[in-house]
Amino acid sequence: MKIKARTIVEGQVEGKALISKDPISFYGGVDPETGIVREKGHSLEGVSIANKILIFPYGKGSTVGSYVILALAKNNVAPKAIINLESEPIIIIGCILTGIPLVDRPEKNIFDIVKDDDNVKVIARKDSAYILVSRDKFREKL
Amino acid sequence: MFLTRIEEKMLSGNMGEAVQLAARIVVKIGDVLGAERLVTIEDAHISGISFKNIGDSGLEFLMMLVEKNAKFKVPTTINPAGFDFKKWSKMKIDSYFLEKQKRVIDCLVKMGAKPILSCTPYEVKRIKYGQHIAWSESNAVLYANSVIGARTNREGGPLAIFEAIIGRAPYTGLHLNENRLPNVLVQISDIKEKVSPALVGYALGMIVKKGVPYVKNFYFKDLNEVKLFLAAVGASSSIGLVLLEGISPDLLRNRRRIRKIKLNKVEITKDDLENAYSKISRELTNVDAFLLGCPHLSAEELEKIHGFLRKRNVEKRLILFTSRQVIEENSKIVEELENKGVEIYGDTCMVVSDIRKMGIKRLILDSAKAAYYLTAQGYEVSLLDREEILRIISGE
Repeated sequence: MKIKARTIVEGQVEGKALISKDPISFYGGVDPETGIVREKGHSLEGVSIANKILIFPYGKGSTVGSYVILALAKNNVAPKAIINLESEPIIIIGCILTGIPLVDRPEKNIFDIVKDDDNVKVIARKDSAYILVSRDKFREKL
Repeated sequence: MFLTRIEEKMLSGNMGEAVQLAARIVVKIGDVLGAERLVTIEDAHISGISFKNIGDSGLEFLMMLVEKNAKFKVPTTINPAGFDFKKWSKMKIDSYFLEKQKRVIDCLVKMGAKPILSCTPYEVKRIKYGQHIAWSESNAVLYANSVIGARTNREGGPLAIFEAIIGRAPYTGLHLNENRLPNVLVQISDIKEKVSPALVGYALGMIVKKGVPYVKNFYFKDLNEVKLFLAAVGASSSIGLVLLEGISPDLLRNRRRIRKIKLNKVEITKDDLENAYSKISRELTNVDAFLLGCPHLSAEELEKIHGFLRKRNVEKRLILFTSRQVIEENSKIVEELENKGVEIYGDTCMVVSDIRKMGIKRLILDSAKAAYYLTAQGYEVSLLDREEILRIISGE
Protein backbone atom coordinates (compact mmCIF):
# COMPACT_ATOMS: atom_id res chain seq x y z
CA MET A 1 0.00 0.00 0.00
CA LYS A 2 1.31 3.39 -0.99
CA ILE A 3 -0.03 6.65 0.48
CA LYS A 4 0.84 10.10 -0.81
CA ALA A 5 1.57 12.82 1.74
CA ARG A 6 3.21 16.23 2.13
CA THR A 7 6.90 16.52 2.96
CA ILE A 8 7.79 18.84 5.83
CA VAL A 9 11.20 17.49 6.79
CA GLU A 10 12.98 15.40 4.16
CA GLY A 11 14.40 11.95 4.77
CA GLN A 12 13.94 8.28 4.11
CA VAL A 13 13.51 5.69 6.88
CA GLU A 14 11.89 2.38 7.56
CA GLY A 15 10.49 1.05 10.83
CA LYS A 16 7.58 -0.32 12.83
CA ALA A 17 4.44 1.76 13.09
CA LEU A 18 3.15 3.09 16.39
CA ILE A 19 -0.25 4.71 16.28
CA SER A 20 -1.76 7.26 18.62
CA LYS A 21 -5.26 8.45 17.89
CA ASP A 22 -4.79 11.06 20.64
CA PRO A 23 -2.80 14.24 20.00
CA ILE A 24 0.60 14.26 21.72
CA SER A 25 2.06 16.90 24.03
CA PHE A 26 5.79 16.20 24.09
CA TYR A 27 6.38 18.49 27.08
CA GLY A 28 4.89 16.75 30.09
CA GLY A 29 3.50 13.96 27.91
CA VAL A 30 6.68 12.09 26.93
CA ASP A 31 9.66 11.23 29.14
CA PRO A 32 12.71 12.77 27.43
CA GLU A 33 15.04 10.17 28.98
CA THR A 34 13.21 7.03 27.88
CA GLY A 35 10.75 8.03 25.16
CA ILE A 36 7.91 6.53 27.20
CA VAL A 37 4.55 8.31 27.09
CA ARG A 38 3.64 9.29 30.63
CA GLU A 39 0.50 11.38 30.19
CA LYS A 40 -2.21 9.86 32.38
CA GLY A 41 -5.06 8.39 30.37
CA HIS A 42 -3.27 8.81 27.01
CA SER A 43 -3.83 5.95 24.55
CA LEU A 44 -0.05 5.37 24.51
CA GLU A 45 0.47 5.70 28.27
CA GLY A 46 3.42 3.50 29.28
CA VAL A 47 4.45 2.82 25.65
CA SER A 48 7.82 3.89 24.22
CA ILE A 49 7.90 5.93 21.01
CA ALA A 50 11.64 5.25 20.57
CA ASN A 51 12.69 4.19 17.06
CA LYS A 52 9.10 3.90 15.83
CA ILE A 53 7.39 5.44 12.86
CA LEU A 54 5.10 7.52 15.07
CA ILE A 55 1.68 8.33 13.66
CA PHE A 56 -0.60 10.80 15.47
CA PRO A 57 -3.10 13.47 14.43
CA TYR A 58 -1.33 16.64 15.62
CA GLY A 59 0.62 18.09 18.52
CA LYS A 60 -0.92 19.79 21.52
CA GLY A 61 0.12 21.59 24.67
CA SER A 62 3.17 23.51 25.79
CA THR A 63 5.48 25.38 23.44
CA VAL A 64 8.41 23.77 25.24
CA GLY A 65 7.61 20.53 23.37
CA SER A 66 10.21 21.24 20.65
CA TYR A 67 12.92 21.02 23.32
CA VAL A 68 11.66 17.60 24.39
CA ILE A 69 12.05 16.36 20.80
CA LEU A 70 15.68 17.60 20.91
CA ALA A 71 16.20 15.71 24.18
CA LEU A 72 14.68 12.51 22.79
CA ALA A 73 17.08 12.64 19.83
CA LYS A 74 20.06 13.32 22.08
CA ASN A 75 19.13 10.32 24.23
CA ASN A 76 18.62 8.09 21.15
CA VAL A 77 14.99 7.50 22.01
CA ALA A 78 13.34 9.66 19.36
CA PRO A 79 10.90 8.25 16.80
CA LYS A 80 12.49 7.33 13.42
CA ALA A 81 9.91 9.43 11.59
CA ILE A 82 6.66 11.25 12.38
CA ILE A 83 3.45 11.16 10.34
CA ASN A 84 0.75 13.68 11.27
CA LEU A 85 -2.64 14.49 9.86
CA GLU A 86 -1.63 18.14 10.24
CA SER A 87 1.73 19.20 11.65
CA GLU A 88 2.13 22.32 13.75
CA PRO A 89 5.15 24.51 14.62
CA ILE A 90 6.14 22.78 17.90
CA ILE A 91 6.59 19.41 16.15
CA ILE A 92 7.99 20.90 12.92
CA ILE A 93 10.81 22.79 14.66
CA GLY A 94 11.69 19.77 16.78
CA CYS A 95 11.95 17.65 13.62
CA ILE A 96 13.89 20.22 11.56
CA LEU A 97 16.50 20.64 14.29
CA THR A 98 16.91 16.91 14.82
CA GLY A 99 16.51 15.81 11.20
CA ILE A 100 13.62 13.48 12.03
CA PRO A 101 11.68 12.99 8.77
CA LEU A 102 8.21 14.54 9.07
CA VAL A 103 5.26 14.24 6.70
CA ASP A 104 1.62 15.24 7.05
CA ARG A 105 -1.71 15.34 5.18
CA PRO A 106 -1.70 11.68 4.07
CA GLU A 107 -4.16 11.35 1.19
CA LYS A 108 -5.85 8.27 2.61
CA ASN A 109 -7.14 7.64 6.11
CA ILE A 110 -3.95 6.38 7.62
CA PHE A 111 -5.62 5.29 10.87
CA ASP A 112 -7.76 2.82 8.90
CA ILE A 113 -4.86 1.44 6.90
CA VAL A 114 -1.89 1.23 9.23
CA LYS A 115 -1.87 -0.86 12.41
CA ASP A 116 0.73 -0.98 15.20
CA ASP A 117 3.89 -2.87 14.21
CA ASP A 118 3.22 -2.73 10.47
CA ASN A 119 6.37 -2.12 8.46
CA VAL A 120 6.28 1.44 7.28
CA LYS A 121 8.69 3.17 4.94
CA VAL A 122 8.61 6.96 4.81
CA ILE A 123 10.07 8.53 1.68
CA ALA A 124 10.01 12.30 2.11
CA ARG A 125 11.61 14.10 -0.82
CA LYS A 126 11.64 17.81 -1.50
CA ASP A 127 8.53 17.81 -3.68
CA SER A 128 6.75 14.60 -2.82
CA ALA A 129 6.24 12.21 0.05
CA TYR A 130 5.15 8.59 0.11
CA ILE A 131 4.28 6.26 2.95
CA LEU A 132 4.72 2.58 2.04
CA VAL A 133 2.96 0.10 4.28
CA SER A 134 3.42 -3.66 4.45
CA ARG A 135 2.32 -6.23 6.97
CA ASP A 136 4.24 -9.34 7.90
CA LYS A 137 2.52 -12.43 6.44
CA PHE A 138 2.01 -14.21 9.74
CA ARG A 139 0.33 -11.16 11.20
CA GLU A 140 -2.19 -11.11 8.35
CA LYS A 141 -3.52 -14.41 9.64
CA LEU A 142 -3.96 -13.24 13.22
CA MET B 1 5.59 32.26 -0.32
CA PHE B 2 6.43 35.78 -1.46
CA LEU B 3 9.80 36.90 -0.09
CA THR B 4 11.35 40.36 -0.27
CA ARG B 5 14.87 40.77 -1.57
CA ILE B 6 16.28 41.06 1.91
CA GLU B 7 14.43 37.92 2.99
CA GLU B 8 15.86 36.06 -0.03
CA LYS B 9 19.27 37.25 1.06
CA MET B 10 18.69 35.92 4.57
CA LEU B 11 17.80 32.52 3.09
CA SER B 12 20.82 32.46 0.80
CA GLY B 13 23.30 32.47 3.65
CA ASN B 14 24.80 35.86 2.71
CA MET B 15 23.83 37.23 6.09
CA GLY B 16 25.40 34.46 8.11
CA GLU B 17 24.61 30.90 9.08
CA ALA B 18 22.33 31.75 12.03
CA VAL B 19 20.18 34.07 9.92
CA GLN B 20 19.99 31.42 7.22
CA LEU B 21 18.88 28.71 9.65
CA ALA B 22 16.33 31.04 11.25
CA ALA B 23 14.97 32.19 7.87
CA ARG B 24 14.74 28.63 6.62
CA ILE B 25 12.70 27.56 9.63
CA VAL B 26 10.41 30.60 9.75
CA VAL B 27 9.69 30.30 6.02
CA LYS B 28 9.07 26.56 6.36
CA ILE B 29 6.59 27.13 9.19
CA GLY B 30 4.95 29.91 7.15
CA ASP B 31 4.61 27.60 4.15
CA VAL B 32 3.05 24.84 6.23
CA LEU B 33 0.60 27.30 7.80
CA GLY B 34 -0.27 28.76 4.41
CA ALA B 35 1.21 32.24 4.93
CA GLU B 36 1.54 34.31 1.76
CA ARG B 37 4.42 36.35 3.14
CA LEU B 38 6.32 37.28 6.30
CA VAL B 39 5.49 40.25 8.52
CA THR B 40 8.07 42.48 10.20
CA ILE B 41 7.88 42.23 13.99
CA GLU B 42 8.79 44.92 16.51
CA ASP B 43 9.31 42.84 19.62
CA ALA B 44 9.94 39.29 20.82
CA HIS B 45 9.52 37.31 24.02
CA ILE B 46 10.97 33.85 24.52
CA SER B 47 9.70 30.93 26.62
CA GLY B 48 11.53 27.72 27.51
CA ILE B 49 14.17 29.33 29.73
CA SER B 50 14.29 27.16 32.85
CA PHE B 51 16.99 24.50 32.64
CA LYS B 52 14.51 22.23 34.42
CA ASN B 53 12.37 22.35 31.27
CA ILE B 54 14.83 22.47 28.37
CA GLY B 55 17.70 20.36 29.76
CA ASP B 56 21.08 19.77 28.16
CA SER B 57 19.78 19.48 24.60
CA GLY B 58 18.05 22.86 24.96
CA LEU B 59 21.27 24.40 26.24
CA GLU B 60 23.23 22.83 23.36
CA PHE B 61 20.73 24.29 20.90
CA LEU B 62 21.28 27.77 22.34
CA MET B 63 25.06 27.30 22.34
CA MET B 64 24.90 26.24 18.69
CA LEU B 65 23.13 29.52 17.88
CA VAL B 66 25.69 31.57 19.82
CA GLU B 67 28.48 29.77 17.97
CA LYS B 68 26.84 30.74 14.69
CA ASN B 69 26.86 34.32 16.01
CA ALA B 70 23.09 34.66 16.18
CA LYS B 71 21.79 38.10 17.21
CA PHE B 72 18.26 39.25 17.94
CA LYS B 73 17.08 41.90 15.51
CA VAL B 74 14.30 43.21 17.79
CA PRO B 75 13.97 43.99 21.53
CA THR B 76 13.74 40.58 23.18
CA THR B 77 12.85 39.58 26.73
CA ILE B 78 12.81 36.11 28.27
CA ASN B 79 10.67 33.99 30.58
CA PRO B 80 11.48 33.16 34.22
CA ALA B 81 14.36 30.78 34.97
CA GLY B 82 14.68 27.95 37.49
CA PHE B 83 15.61 30.15 40.47
CA ASP B 84 16.12 33.65 41.88
CA PHE B 85 19.61 34.77 40.87
CA LYS B 86 20.14 36.52 44.19
CA LYS B 87 18.51 34.00 46.52
CA TRP B 88 19.34 30.71 44.85
CA SER B 89 20.88 29.22 47.97
CA LYS B 90 17.66 29.90 49.87
CA MET B 91 15.87 27.94 47.15
CA LYS B 92 18.28 25.00 47.77
CA ILE B 93 19.62 25.06 44.22
CA ASP B 94 22.62 22.77 43.68
CA SER B 95 25.73 23.98 41.91
CA TYR B 96 25.15 21.77 38.84
CA PHE B 97 21.74 23.28 38.13
CA LEU B 98 23.05 26.76 38.99
CA GLU B 99 25.85 26.48 36.45
CA LYS B 100 23.64 25.08 33.67
CA GLN B 101 20.94 27.71 34.21
CA LYS B 102 23.51 30.51 34.13
CA ARG B 103 24.81 29.22 30.82
CA VAL B 104 21.28 29.23 29.34
CA ILE B 105 20.84 32.89 30.33
CA ASP B 106 24.37 33.73 29.12
CA CYS B 107 23.59 32.38 25.66
CA LEU B 108 20.39 34.41 25.39
CA VAL B 109 22.05 37.58 26.63
CA LYS B 110 24.89 37.07 24.14
CA MET B 111 22.28 36.96 21.39
CA GLY B 112 20.96 40.28 22.67
CA ALA B 113 18.12 39.40 25.05
CA LYS B 114 17.49 41.82 27.89
CA PRO B 115 18.08 39.92 31.12
CA ILE B 116 14.55 40.65 32.32
CA LEU B 117 13.20 37.26 33.35
CA SER B 118 9.45 37.63 33.44
CA CYS B 119 6.34 35.92 32.15
CA THR B 120 4.56 39.31 32.07
CA PRO B 121 6.47 41.19 29.36
CA TYR B 122 3.35 43.36 28.96
CA GLU B 123 4.17 44.86 32.36
CA VAL B 124 7.92 45.32 31.90
CA LYS B 125 7.95 46.86 28.43
CA ARG B 126 5.68 49.05 26.37
CA ILE B 127 3.73 47.29 23.64
CA LYS B 128 1.19 49.18 21.59
CA TYR B 129 -2.10 48.48 19.91
CA GLY B 130 -1.72 47.06 16.41
CA GLN B 131 1.98 46.20 16.70
CA HIS B 132 3.11 42.91 15.22
CA ILE B 133 5.18 40.99 17.76
CA ALA B 134 6.40 37.42 18.27
CA TRP B 135 5.78 36.22 21.77
CA SER B 136 5.83 32.75 23.20
CA GLU B 137 4.53 32.20 26.79
CA SER B 138 0.82 31.66 26.44
CA ASN B 139 -0.39 34.08 29.14
CA ALA B 140 1.62 36.91 27.57
CA VAL B 141 0.28 36.10 24.10
CA LEU B 142 -3.29 36.20 25.40
CA TYR B 143 -2.74 39.48 27.26
CA ALA B 144 -1.01 41.16 24.30
CA ASN B 145 -3.79 40.17 21.90
CA SER B 146 -6.82 40.50 24.17
CA VAL B 147 -6.00 43.52 26.35
CA ILE B 148 -3.47 45.55 24.35
CA GLY B 149 -4.57 44.64 20.84
CA ALA B 150 -1.04 43.85 19.68
CA ARG B 151 -0.75 40.94 17.28
CA THR B 152 1.04 37.69 17.93
CA ASN B 153 0.44 34.01 17.48
CA ARG B 154 1.23 31.50 20.21
CA GLU B 155 4.80 30.98 19.13
CA GLY B 156 6.76 27.96 20.28
CA GLY B 157 9.86 28.68 22.38
CA PRO B 158 12.47 28.05 19.62
CA LEU B 159 10.24 29.61 16.94
CA ALA B 160 10.19 32.93 18.80
CA ILE B 161 14.00 32.75 18.91
CA PHE B 162 14.22 32.29 15.13
CA GLU B 163 11.68 35.06 14.54
CA ALA B 164 13.65 37.40 16.79
CA ILE B 165 16.82 36.61 14.80
CA ILE B 166 15.29 37.61 11.45
CA GLY B 167 12.80 40.14 12.86
CA ARG B 168 9.94 38.51 11.00
CA ALA B 169 7.12 36.04 11.54
CA PRO B 170 4.80 34.24 9.12
CA TYR B 171 1.95 36.61 8.24
CA THR B 172 -0.82 34.30 9.33
CA GLY B 173 -3.19 33.49 12.20
CA LEU B 174 -3.71 36.34 14.65
CA HIS B 175 -1.49 38.71 12.64
CA LEU B 176 -4.38 39.01 10.18
CA ASN B 177 -7.42 41.09 11.08
CA GLU B 178 -9.92 38.57 9.68
CA ASN B 179 -8.66 35.94 12.10
CA ARG B 180 -9.24 38.28 15.05
CA LEU B 181 -13.01 38.19 14.66
CA PRO B 182 -14.96 36.11 17.16
CA ASN B 183 -16.26 32.67 16.22
CA VAL B 184 -18.06 31.72 19.40
CA LEU B 185 -20.03 33.69 21.98
CA VAL B 186 -19.39 32.59 25.55
CA GLN B 187 -21.95 33.25 28.24
CA ILE B 188 -21.27 32.66 31.86
CA SER B 189 -24.56 31.56 33.37
CA ASP B 190 -26.01 33.40 36.29
CA ILE B 191 -24.12 32.12 39.29
CA LYS B 192 -25.05 33.70 42.58
CA GLU B 193 -21.86 33.39 44.56
CA LYS B 194 -18.65 35.10 43.45
CA VAL B 195 -16.71 32.88 41.06
CA SER B 196 -12.98 32.91 40.59
CA PRO B 197 -11.99 34.42 37.23
CA ALA B 198 -9.11 31.94 37.07
CA LEU B 199 -11.54 29.04 37.30
CA VAL B 200 -13.88 30.57 34.70
CA GLY B 201 -10.87 30.99 32.37
CA TYR B 202 -9.83 27.39 32.89
CA ALA B 203 -13.37 26.11 32.20
CA LEU B 204 -13.66 28.35 29.12
CA GLY B 205 -10.45 26.90 27.68
CA MET B 206 -11.58 23.33 28.39
CA ILE B 207 -14.88 23.90 26.61
CA VAL B 208 -13.96 26.21 23.70
CA LYS B 209 -10.47 24.70 23.07
CA LYS B 210 -9.49 26.89 20.08
CA GLY B 211 -10.58 29.87 17.99
CA VAL B 212 -11.56 33.34 19.18
CA PRO B 213 -14.19 33.41 21.94
CA TYR B 214 -16.21 36.54 22.67
CA VAL B 215 -17.03 36.95 26.37
CA LYS B 216 -19.88 39.35 26.99
CA ASN B 217 -21.31 39.33 30.46
CA PHE B 218 -18.48 38.62 32.83
CA TYR B 219 -17.35 41.34 35.15
CA PHE B 220 -13.69 41.72 36.10
CA LYS B 221 -12.85 43.76 39.18
CA ASP B 222 -9.47 44.84 37.81
CA LEU B 223 -6.81 43.93 35.25
CA ASN B 224 -5.19 41.54 37.72
CA GLU B 225 -8.29 39.38 37.52
CA VAL B 226 -8.08 39.54 33.73
CA LYS B 227 -4.48 38.34 33.98
CA LEU B 228 -5.43 35.30 36.07
CA PHE B 229 -8.35 34.58 33.75
CA LEU B 230 -6.25 34.72 30.57
CA ALA B 231 -3.41 32.68 32.04
CA ALA B 232 -5.92 29.95 32.84
CA VAL B 233 -7.32 30.05 29.28
CA GLY B 234 -3.77 29.61 28.02
CA ALA B 235 -3.22 26.54 30.19
CA SER B 236 -6.35 24.68 29.17
CA SER B 237 -6.60 25.52 25.46
CA SER B 238 -4.76 26.65 22.36
CA ILE B 239 -6.64 29.96 22.29
CA GLY B 240 -4.50 33.07 21.65
CA LEU B 241 -7.13 35.83 21.75
CA VAL B 242 -10.25 36.28 23.88
CA LEU B 243 -12.47 39.24 23.05
CA LEU B 244 -13.56 40.75 26.36
CA GLU B 245 -16.43 43.24 26.42
CA GLY B 246 -15.21 46.65 27.57
CA ILE B 247 -11.56 45.60 27.45
CA SER B 248 -10.41 44.27 24.06
CA PRO B 249 -9.54 47.01 21.54
CA ASP B 250 -10.31 44.64 18.65
CA LEU B 251 -13.98 44.73 19.62
CA LEU B 252 -14.10 48.44 18.92
CA ARG B 253 -12.09 48.23 15.75
CA ASN B 254 -14.25 45.47 14.29
CA ARG B 255 -17.59 46.34 15.89
CA ARG B 256 -19.47 46.79 12.60
CA ARG B 257 -18.26 43.50 11.20
CA ILE B 258 -18.89 41.65 14.44
CA ARG B 259 -22.50 42.84 14.56
CA LYS B 260 -23.13 41.02 11.30
CA ILE B 261 -21.65 37.70 12.42
CA LYS B 262 -24.07 35.10 13.68
CA LEU B 263 -22.21 33.48 16.53
CA ASN B 264 -22.77 30.07 18.05
CA LYS B 265 -23.35 30.34 21.77
CA VAL B 266 -21.62 28.35 24.45
CA GLU B 267 -22.69 28.56 28.04
CA ILE B 268 -20.43 27.97 30.99
CA THR B 269 -22.52 26.60 33.81
CA LYS B 270 -21.96 25.86 37.46
CA ASP B 271 -21.39 22.21 36.53
CA ASP B 272 -18.64 23.22 34.09
CA LEU B 273 -16.92 25.21 36.81
CA GLU B 274 -17.16 22.30 39.22
CA ASN B 275 -15.75 19.97 36.58
CA ALA B 276 -12.85 22.36 35.90
CA TYR B 277 -12.23 22.70 39.63
CA SER B 278 -12.03 18.93 40.08
CA LYS B 279 -9.26 18.70 37.46
CA ILE B 280 -6.85 21.12 39.12
CA SER B 281 -7.83 21.52 42.74
CA ARG B 282 -8.82 19.63 45.84
CA GLU B 283 -9.83 20.57 49.35
CA LEU B 284 -6.76 20.71 51.56
CA THR B 285 -6.63 21.47 55.25
CA ASN B 286 -2.96 21.41 56.12
CA VAL B 287 -0.65 22.98 53.57
CA ASP B 288 3.05 23.82 53.47
CA ALA B 289 2.66 27.25 51.90
CA PHE B 290 0.50 29.79 50.08
CA LEU B 291 1.86 30.93 46.71
CA LEU B 292 0.97 34.01 44.65
CA GLY B 293 2.53 35.26 41.42
CA CYS B 294 1.55 33.11 38.45
CA PRO B 295 1.67 35.13 36.26
CA HIS B 296 4.29 37.34 37.95
CA LEU B 297 2.82 39.96 40.30
CA SER B 298 2.75 43.51 38.98
CA ALA B 299 3.90 46.43 41.13
CA GLU B 300 0.26 47.26 41.73
CA GLU B 301 -0.58 43.75 42.90
CA LEU B 302 2.43 43.77 45.22
CA GLU B 303 1.26 47.09 46.66
CA LYS B 304 -2.22 45.70 47.27
CA ILE B 305 -0.86 42.66 49.08
CA HIS B 306 1.37 44.93 51.13
CA GLY B 307 -1.54 47.25 51.87
CA PHE B 308 -3.63 44.37 53.17
CA LEU B 309 -0.91 42.83 55.30
CA ARG B 310 0.62 46.07 56.59
CA LYS B 311 -1.37 46.21 59.80
CA ARG B 312 -1.91 42.48 60.12
CA ASN B 313 0.24 39.58 61.24
CA VAL B 314 1.51 37.08 58.72
CA GLU B 315 0.74 33.77 60.39
CA LYS B 316 1.32 31.35 57.52
CA ARG B 317 4.10 30.78 54.99
CA LEU B 318 3.42 33.12 52.07
CA ILE B 319 5.62 33.10 48.95
CA LEU B 320 5.39 35.72 46.20
CA PHE B 321 6.88 35.60 42.70
CA THR B 322 7.53 38.65 40.54
CA SER B 323 10.13 40.12 38.21
CA ARG B 324 13.48 41.53 39.32
CA GLN B 325 12.31 44.88 37.96
CA VAL B 326 9.27 45.02 40.25
CA ILE B 327 11.41 43.99 43.23
CA GLU B 328 13.98 46.71 42.56
CA GLU B 329 11.45 49.42 41.89
CA ASN B 330 9.52 48.59 45.06
CA SER B 331 12.35 47.87 47.44
CA LYS B 332 10.67 49.46 50.46
CA ILE B 333 7.51 47.40 50.12
CA VAL B 334 9.59 44.28 49.53
CA GLU B 335 11.62 44.96 52.64
CA GLU B 336 8.55 45.54 54.79
CA LEU B 337 6.91 42.36 53.55
CA GLU B 338 10.09 40.37 54.10
CA ASN B 339 10.33 41.73 57.64
CA LYS B 340 6.90 40.25 58.24
CA GLY B 341 8.18 36.86 57.11
CA VAL B 342 6.83 36.89 53.54
CA GLU B 343 9.23 35.28 51.04
CA ILE B 344 9.63 37.14 47.74
CA TYR B 345 11.46 35.74 44.73
CA GLY B 346 12.36 37.31 41.39
CA ASP B 347 13.60 35.84 38.09
CA THR B 348 11.64 32.64 38.65
CA CYS B 349 8.19 31.27 39.45
CA MET B 350 6.41 28.41 41.19
CA VAL B 351 6.00 26.41 37.96
CA VAL B 352 9.54 26.48 36.51
CA SER B 353 11.50 26.29 39.79
CA ASP B 354 11.66 23.26 42.06
CA ILE B 355 9.53 24.22 45.06
CA ARG B 356 9.83 20.68 46.47
CA LYS B 357 13.35 21.64 47.49
CA MET B 358 11.83 24.50 49.48
CA GLY B 359 9.83 21.97 51.50
CA ILE B 360 6.58 22.42 49.60
CA LYS B 361 4.37 19.54 48.56
CA ARG B 362 0.90 20.75 49.48
CA LEU B 363 -0.02 24.28 48.60
CA ILE B 364 -2.76 26.84 48.13
CA LEU B 365 -2.70 29.35 45.27
CA ASP B 366 -4.95 31.64 43.25
CA SER B 367 -3.74 30.71 39.76
CA ALA B 368 -5.54 28.00 37.77
CA LYS B 369 -2.61 27.91 35.36
CA ALA B 370 -0.13 27.08 38.11
CA ALA B 371 -2.66 24.69 39.65
CA TYR B 372 -2.75 22.77 36.37
CA TYR B 373 1.02 22.55 35.89
CA LEU B 374 1.80 21.81 39.55
CA THR B 375 -0.89 19.11 39.75
CA ALA B 376 0.75 17.53 36.68
CA GLN B 377 4.09 17.67 38.52
CA GLY B 378 2.62 15.68 41.42
CA TYR B 379 1.87 18.45 43.91
CA GLU B 380 -1.32 18.60 45.98
CA VAL B 381 -2.94 21.88 45.08
CA SER B 382 -5.94 23.87 46.20
CA LEU B 383 -7.29 26.89 44.33
CA LEU B 384 -8.65 29.85 46.31
CA ASP B 385 -9.29 33.52 45.63
CA ARG B 386 -6.51 35.94 46.51
CA GLU B 387 -8.66 37.79 49.07
CA GLU B 388 -9.40 34.54 50.85
CA ILE B 389 -5.76 33.55 50.81
CA LEU B 390 -4.72 36.85 52.36
CA ARG B 391 -7.39 36.53 55.03
CA ILE B 392 -6.18 33.04 55.95
CA ILE B 393 -2.56 34.20 55.98
CA SER B 394 -3.39 36.95 58.43
CA GLY B 395 -5.40 34.64 60.66
CA GLU B 396 -8.79 36.22 59.97
